[in-house]
Amino acid sequence: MPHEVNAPTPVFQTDKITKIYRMGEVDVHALRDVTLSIYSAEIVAILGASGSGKSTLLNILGGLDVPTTGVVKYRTTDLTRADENDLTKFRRKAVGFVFQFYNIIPSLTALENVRLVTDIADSPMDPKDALRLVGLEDRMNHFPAQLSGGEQQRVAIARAIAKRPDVLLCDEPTGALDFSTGLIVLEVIERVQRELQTTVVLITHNATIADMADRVIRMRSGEIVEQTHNEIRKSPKELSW
Amino acid sequence: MTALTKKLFREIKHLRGQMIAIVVVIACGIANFVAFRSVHASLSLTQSSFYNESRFADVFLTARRAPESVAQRIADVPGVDLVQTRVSADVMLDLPSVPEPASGVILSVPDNGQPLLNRLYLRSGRWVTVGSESDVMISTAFADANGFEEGDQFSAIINGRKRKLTIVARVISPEHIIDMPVGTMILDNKRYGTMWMSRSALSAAYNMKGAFNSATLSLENGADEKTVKEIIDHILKPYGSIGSIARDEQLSNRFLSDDIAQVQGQAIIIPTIFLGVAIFLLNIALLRLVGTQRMSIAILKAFGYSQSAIGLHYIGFALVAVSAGSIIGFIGGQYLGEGLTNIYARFYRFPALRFDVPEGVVVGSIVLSALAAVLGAVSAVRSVLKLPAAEAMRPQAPKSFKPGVLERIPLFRRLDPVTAMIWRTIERRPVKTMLSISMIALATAILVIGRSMFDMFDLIMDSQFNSANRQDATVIFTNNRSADVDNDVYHLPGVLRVEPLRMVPVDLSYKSKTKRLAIQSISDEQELIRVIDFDGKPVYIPESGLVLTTYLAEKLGLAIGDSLTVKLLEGDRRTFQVPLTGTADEMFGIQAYMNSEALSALLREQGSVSGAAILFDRSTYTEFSQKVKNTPAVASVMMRDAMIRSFDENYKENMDISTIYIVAFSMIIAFGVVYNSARIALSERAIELASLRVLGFTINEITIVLLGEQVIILIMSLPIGLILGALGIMGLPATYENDLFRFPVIITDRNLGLASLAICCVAIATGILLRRKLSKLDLIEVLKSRE
Repeated sequence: MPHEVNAPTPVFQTDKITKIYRMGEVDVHALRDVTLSIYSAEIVAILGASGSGKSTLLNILGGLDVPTTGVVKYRTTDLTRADENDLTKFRRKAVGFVFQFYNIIPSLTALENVRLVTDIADSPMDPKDALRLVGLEDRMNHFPAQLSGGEQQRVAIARAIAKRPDVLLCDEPTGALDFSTGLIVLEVIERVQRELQTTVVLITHNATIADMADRVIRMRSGEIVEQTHNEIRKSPKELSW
Repeated sequence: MTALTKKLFREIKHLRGQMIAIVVVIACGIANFVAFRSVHASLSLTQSSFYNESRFADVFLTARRAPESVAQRIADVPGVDLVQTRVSADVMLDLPSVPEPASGVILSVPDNGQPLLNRLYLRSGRWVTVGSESDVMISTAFADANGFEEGDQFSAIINGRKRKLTIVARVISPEHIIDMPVGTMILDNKRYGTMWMSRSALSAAYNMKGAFNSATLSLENGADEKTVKEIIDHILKPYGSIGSIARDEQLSNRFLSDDIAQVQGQAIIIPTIFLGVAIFLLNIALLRLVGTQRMSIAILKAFGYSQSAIGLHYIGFALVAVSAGSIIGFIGGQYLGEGLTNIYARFYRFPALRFDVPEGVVVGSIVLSALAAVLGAVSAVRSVLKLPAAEAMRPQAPKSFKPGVLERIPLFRRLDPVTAMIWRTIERRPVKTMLSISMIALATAILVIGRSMFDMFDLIMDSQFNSANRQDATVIFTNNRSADVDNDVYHLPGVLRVEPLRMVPVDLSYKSKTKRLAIQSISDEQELIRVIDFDGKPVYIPESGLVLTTYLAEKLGLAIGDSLTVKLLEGDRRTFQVPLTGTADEMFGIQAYMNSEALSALLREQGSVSGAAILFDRSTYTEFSQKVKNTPAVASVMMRDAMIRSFDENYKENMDISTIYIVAFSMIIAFGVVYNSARIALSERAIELASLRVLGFTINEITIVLLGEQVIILIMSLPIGLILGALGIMGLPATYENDLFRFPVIITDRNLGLASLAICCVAIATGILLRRKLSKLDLIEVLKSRE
């Protein structure tokens, strides 16, 4: 693992985390002994079929969920020991989320959706700049119902990055989009990472998309089965599926 | 159980918070319906059957003294069926149970048994012995208030002589179902009661052998009451009659009938309000449910379930809520009805007043419930049926929003995102918002109107006992006395000040209108007895001419300076003209006042008085009471303290009960509305709120986002509710106004403040409940679910 030698402090470090959901009478092991590190300014793709545990892992990294056992560290903070307030603060300061279903607020315009976050962030960028970065400078005053799916997702990305988060966590960001729109969204993510040097964790079940990452982690049945390093990161333009 | 039925019950369990709120509102509606309808039925049935059995009279006559032969002339008047003459005497009583002097009326019963009319119901004891000067039967209300039983004795001053009376029976008379003296508004059965004595004994005591001073009569079917009354008044005029009264003016009957009518009104109004609110709540809850179940509905349709099966499934939610509410309401209604019946039974004495739920009420509540369920489910079911299956399988597109109306105003153009979210959500559904506002406003208005009765009572009590009548006691003499009676009164223990009273019965006429009343003298000083207007200010009584209440002046169509015809109904019965020199805007409907000297001059009397207002040293309360009790010249005494005390005893508890009632009911409405709309908002906006949490909003911050809408609705509802309440208060007096009383419009800050506070408490409680729900919001689950 060459990166571990080069980068001394990972952004995220997990140590043997497991997550067990009790579904009625049976226990479902969503994660089993997952140990991994994620480093600053890299794009990490987590690849796996549905039910492989990738979303659970992402939610735990983002402070939306806590593991059943094991330790998760964000830089020097132990997220497994954090209470609800600490986790809220962590999400507020450090994390940007992008979901498959954009989850933007329908009653607010694109600009207001971004302002929602910049209003509570410590040193946010200008909401307009965030929208410019995702190429929506002309649609700022549109409501979600007036935007296409790809545009809505770009609003979600602008909203996620406007606070200048340390990490951007994307859960199947192109899952609900057609190929060409999905591509635009991926380009935006890549551009943000490049320009802001944000660490990006990208969940996908599409192996091709993983080519745009620095590192690819493959999961199956709650376990990491393979970690590979892409010598050359492909630009989203070069991807096709 | 079919799978669809299982789904129904599981989901009801899931929605229990909202369901409970709806069930409670429906239960209140049905409970009130059952209680008030049943109480109305049993009161009116009991009234009419008791009136029939006891042959309640149609017309009531009084005279000074008429020979018995006149009775035959009355009986011969066309339309008259039966005539029962009797002797009636106002007496002062000295009761072992109260320190103050008490008073009452003794009525005669024929020596041959039950009277022809107004027959007595013997609750216990035996009939009076013919000719017995001590045997009396007393009203049960009077007996119960004083704890009297057969064999107990008390004294009465009968025609100037103090006599011991022995209670031989407790009876109920249709004429005294509520037993209170004419002209007062306070029921005081401890110090006032009706008694019955043998005719021969009572006539002997009052020198009425072969004569009568009171009579009752019944009319034949189809008789013209007005004509009969006119003829009889004409016959009795030479014998000192001041006019007959018909059944509908008779005090006890009037109180009872007014109350029965009021119960009937409540049986309509209260359930309508509750069921209306319940229908609204069902509508919004079910519409929301259908909204979250688009996918399930589409799948059911895809599987081949018929429209009607799916429609019925959603009506099922309403049916379950309404059935549960109705059953609880029906059971609760029985208790409520029994409680109400007990309250009425305390005021109205019937041989038997039982609470029964008539069949019609059972049927009525089933019909009402079914109606509520159908109306509550109709909009939801319609939207289910309209939903095309294929479209419903896809996730809903984002709801379309636009900038709110408010944002066109420059000041609001740049709302912060959270405020914008709240405001646009409100504006997006104006109908729902307006309905919510009107429901909460309604609850507020009910509180305000309900409480205003007590403010009004406080004001009346204060005005009557602290401003208008500042005397400690009012005595009325058996006969008019000369002015020097003052000296005698001053000899009573502790008397500090005496103001003579003169009441002169007259007919006032102006153009074609005539009104019968008593002119009251007001002394120059107006130290004790004053005329007080609605603003609490004393009214100036000019040295000459008449002052009428504004109400009466308007009724007669009089303006100041107009000349009225005054016909004396006592003494020489002269007629003369007197100018109207002032009006008094006061709480009594029909009153006429005159300066005492002007009145004496008019009557050509040298200061004749009918009574006196007395201020005395409070430390001599007992001695004063004792002395007055034993003064034969005194016909009746009203003691200020005793009146206030009896008011407290008789009405305070009822007022407290109705306060709790009103507060509880309006809070239930407010809670039902606020909780349901907030709960629905939570379900509609769960994804939004979870997204905000993911973005790093704290629980408190998203609570503000969620409750902001409710707070704005509340802020808009409160002033509307307060204004509605105030308008209601202003409308109230008109519904209660009669010739006896006019009610002041009183809106106190305290009332408005308490109502607002109560509604805010409901909102805060809802806020706390919802915050708990928000803190349990499962972010991952919510974000995963696509409705």
